[in-house]
Amino acid sequence: MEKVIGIDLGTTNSCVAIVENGTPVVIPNRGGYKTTPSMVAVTEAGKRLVGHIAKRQAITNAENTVYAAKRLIGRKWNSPQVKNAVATSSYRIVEGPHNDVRIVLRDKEFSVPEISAMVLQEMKVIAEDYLGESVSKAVVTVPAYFNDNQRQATKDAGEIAGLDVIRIINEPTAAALSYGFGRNIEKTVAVYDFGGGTFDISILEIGAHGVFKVIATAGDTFLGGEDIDARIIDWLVSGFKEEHNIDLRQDRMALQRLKDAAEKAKCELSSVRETEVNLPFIISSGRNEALHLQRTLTRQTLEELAEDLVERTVDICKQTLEDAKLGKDEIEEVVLVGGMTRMPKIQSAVQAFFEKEPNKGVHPDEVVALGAAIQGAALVDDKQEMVLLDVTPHALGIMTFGSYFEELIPQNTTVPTHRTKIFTTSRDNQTAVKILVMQGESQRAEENELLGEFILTGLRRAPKGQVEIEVTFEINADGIVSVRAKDLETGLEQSIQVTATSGLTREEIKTMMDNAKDDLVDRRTSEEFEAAKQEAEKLIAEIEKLFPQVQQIVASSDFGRDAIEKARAIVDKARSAIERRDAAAVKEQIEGLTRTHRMFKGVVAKT
Amino acid sequence: MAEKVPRLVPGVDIRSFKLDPMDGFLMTRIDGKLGPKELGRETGLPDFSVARALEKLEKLGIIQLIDPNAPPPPPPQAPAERKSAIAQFDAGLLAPKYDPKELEEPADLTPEQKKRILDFFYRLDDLDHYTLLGITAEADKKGVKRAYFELAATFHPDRYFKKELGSFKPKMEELFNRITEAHDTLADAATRAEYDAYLAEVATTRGMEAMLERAMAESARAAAEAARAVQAAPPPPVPTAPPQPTGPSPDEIRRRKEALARRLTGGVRPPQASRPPSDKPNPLRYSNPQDAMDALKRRYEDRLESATQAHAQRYVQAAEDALAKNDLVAASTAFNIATKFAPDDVDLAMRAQEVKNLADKLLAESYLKQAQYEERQGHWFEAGRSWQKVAKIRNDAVSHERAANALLHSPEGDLHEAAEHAKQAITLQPGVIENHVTLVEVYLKAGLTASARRAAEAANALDPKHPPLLALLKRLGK
Repeated sequence: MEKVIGIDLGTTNSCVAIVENGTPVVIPNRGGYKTTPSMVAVTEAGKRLVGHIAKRQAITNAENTVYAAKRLIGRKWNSPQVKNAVATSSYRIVEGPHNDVRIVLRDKEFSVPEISAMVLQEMKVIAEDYLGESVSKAVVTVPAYFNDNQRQATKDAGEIAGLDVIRIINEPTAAALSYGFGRNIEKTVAVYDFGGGTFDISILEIGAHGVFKVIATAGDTFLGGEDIDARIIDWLVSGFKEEHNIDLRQDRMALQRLKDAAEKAKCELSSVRETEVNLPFIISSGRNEALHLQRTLTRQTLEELAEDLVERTVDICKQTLEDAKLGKDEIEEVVLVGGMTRMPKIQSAVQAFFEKEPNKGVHPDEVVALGAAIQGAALVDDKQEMVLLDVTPHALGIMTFGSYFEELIPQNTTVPTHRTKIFTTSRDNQTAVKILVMQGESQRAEENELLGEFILTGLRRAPKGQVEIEVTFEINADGIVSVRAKDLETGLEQSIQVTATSGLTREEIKTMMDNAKDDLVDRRTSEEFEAAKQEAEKLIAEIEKLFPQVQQIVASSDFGRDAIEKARAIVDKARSAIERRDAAAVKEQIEGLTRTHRMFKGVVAKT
Repeated sequence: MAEKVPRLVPGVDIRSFKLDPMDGFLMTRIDGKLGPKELGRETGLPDFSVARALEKLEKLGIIQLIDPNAPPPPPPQAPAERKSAIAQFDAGLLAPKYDPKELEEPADLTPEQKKRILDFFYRLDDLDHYTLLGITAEADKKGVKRAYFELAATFHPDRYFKKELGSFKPKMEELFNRITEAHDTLADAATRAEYDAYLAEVATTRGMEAMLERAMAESARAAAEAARAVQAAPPPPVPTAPPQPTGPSPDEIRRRKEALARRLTGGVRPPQASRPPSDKPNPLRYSNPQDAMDALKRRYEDRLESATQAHAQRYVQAAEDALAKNDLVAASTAFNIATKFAPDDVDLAMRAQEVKNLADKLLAESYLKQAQYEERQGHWFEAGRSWQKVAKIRNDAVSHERAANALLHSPEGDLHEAAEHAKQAITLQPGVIENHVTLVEVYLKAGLTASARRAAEAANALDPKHPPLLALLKRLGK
């Protein structure tokens, strides 16, 4: 049987594991460490360095050392997260040809998946050294809240590294697999995963027959230990500026040293109450005088600096419990994962929220890789009785007339799954519809992620709303999304398998959406809405007819002007409700319209 | 000691029990030799479900657990009946619904796995969420989850990762989809309550339908009984003897003929002109055969009446009992049968109609609720069926219109029936434009442009500014 390794491709550190004789084990690297920094560097001589060696030379080669590449993977150049990274990174981030992100190392541009591939390759080599044979299959973990583009980019990275990524699984899910594996328990578990770059919370049910069912998952892909480091750096930089009026950010080497020191201080403060940040010769002043940075950071200060970040994680936990329709008391175990959960403040916050002592039985840095290895073994080994029932972390749907997002598969739906909805044409004689496949939770289409698009042509020329198009979304067990649109009259259909987009800009997406507006499908009108709309439109028409007359009669008085303004507002509101196709809102406006209509008629009748 | 194996208790009429298809299926495999484990393998049901079902069957006294080495049970008392009952289950539910050829499709699955997948897959439409998960309606949330997990562990496509599954793969994904839907519905108290209410309505209407069927059978039997009563009475006044099933000898027939003639005519027939005086005086003497025939007919009818009256009385009593228990459907059924026995009893007929109206009202309400739930779930085909039933009972414009509309939306809907319903809605409420519009839409979908145009013109006369109508008119090219 072929061996499958599990790789936790982390923001700051990565870890590789395998199941040996039924037991999952972490594979140490050549230095004997169980985790390897997710860092990549290119030396002056053009040599490529990965892991600990890259980290060790980072200070002297800050500009050519990449860290936290995971934060950039699958993202667009002009996303706020990338903008933020450009401002704070010591390496150069530039725009790629498809509005994607490129990293410049010694004048050579690398795509983000290429950088991640170097880390994955390193993990592959570590495993091969340990096993004494070549390895080609892997299960790689990603934050639960990663979207399809980010997952696809991670898969691409695996491919570049020469690995067949047989499955991408979510980090908190992997942690739960590791926690529950072989223990034969029936429990509802919350996994709180606060890592270097991302925060995730997942709620799972572990049941008989080795079934792990994810109930709900949520998170923030830009909230992690790095953000806490950044707070410490800010604190150090602003303190230094006050004292010497020098901005340390201007110096990339200084910035890298600050980064190292901040991380070190943060880790130390998990076990001691205060620590000294000591960076001699950090920069030289204008008079060629060397300056030193020396400050004491207390745990209390750190907690104040990180307070809002920790609170944010608790808010997400709350939301997830609501999504899962579970009370705190129904969570039987809270598992802590990720390096940040070593921070006493975070442990106490989790304990306070869930009202129970978190389980510390798993190793926060290794548990994810172990879980990935378990999933890998379960897939290829018939004897392993374990099935993971995962959910889709984001809602999937299409854009409809008026730039609305119409959801077909809700968030937290167990996969594999398929859902169908019927839509209609949105304008008269529309012979083609454009299906824009999107992912996200916003009602506004442009706020969601565009995954792909296709066109269904050959529709019969007919008034709007007459031709029905059936749209089916399907997610298979491998997490691959396919979308099919079918003309119910002719039976003609079109479909796509959704893969990551080739890096479209927001503007491009916007233009694409604008251009596509005429070709969008419309939500099928509900009769309820249709009835309300008719009534409202009739009233609006009659009010509009009376407007000039009424205006003439009452415009002379302030009271009259006021009344006309109010009437205008009511009509506008009703119109916008009709435009939004919001049946409830239209109904609400009908009352106001009726009153206005009656009043207008009364005014006209009196004269 | 060896594990006990289940055995059917001889002579039990299983039709009197409330069993679900899963139980029935399992029973067909119980042969007194297979233990629970083997039964699970045989039937492809999860062990958990087998254990549950066996427990239930044992409690009901249908099976007993015995030592497999014990002597075989005494021959059943009513083997034929029991066999036929099981055969019924077999025929209705267990005959494989799939084409056995499908088992031959190459796939990395054992024949048992293939059978199990196909068995489940083709039965999906017949199974409610509980039966699908193999649990009882009383199962708690834990029970739902346990059953789901067991099935999920079997049917999740990951169990057969990178295996060649061919057409079994989409089937398994569909199975997984359905068990997940069942779990998600039943694991949440609110959606479960809604689903239970729907199931209850379905059960009510199904029960009513079954009762109506039974009533029909009873009526048929009543008719047969009446016929028997006729046979038991003096044979009909025809010159020839009634055919005798046992076939009496021609001599016997002749003798009887003569005796009959004698009795009818008071001995006027020449061959027996004189009778011995010891003969009891016949109370009925008729001057001619026609009078005799009439009298006989009357007597026959009297006798029939007293027999049928007793029957009618019995059913009327049953109906009143059912009414007292507020069981309208049972009451209606019983009254219906009673009227078959006493067709001339006007009071009874009126009473029966009255109760039937009440029962129908109940039935219609139940179908209405079903139709609404089905509409909400987007199950247009089922909704069409339910609306049609409501329309049949209520015969009101709204139900007819809804039925037409549901049939129109359902891919499998019968457009001819949809048109009939729309027309009926118009007949009932000619002034409601929506009814006309629905008819236009039905005609359009059926491709009957001329009819659609005519219907649209009728609607146009009502309200030429109705937006959906305007859209349809445009579509008609006007």
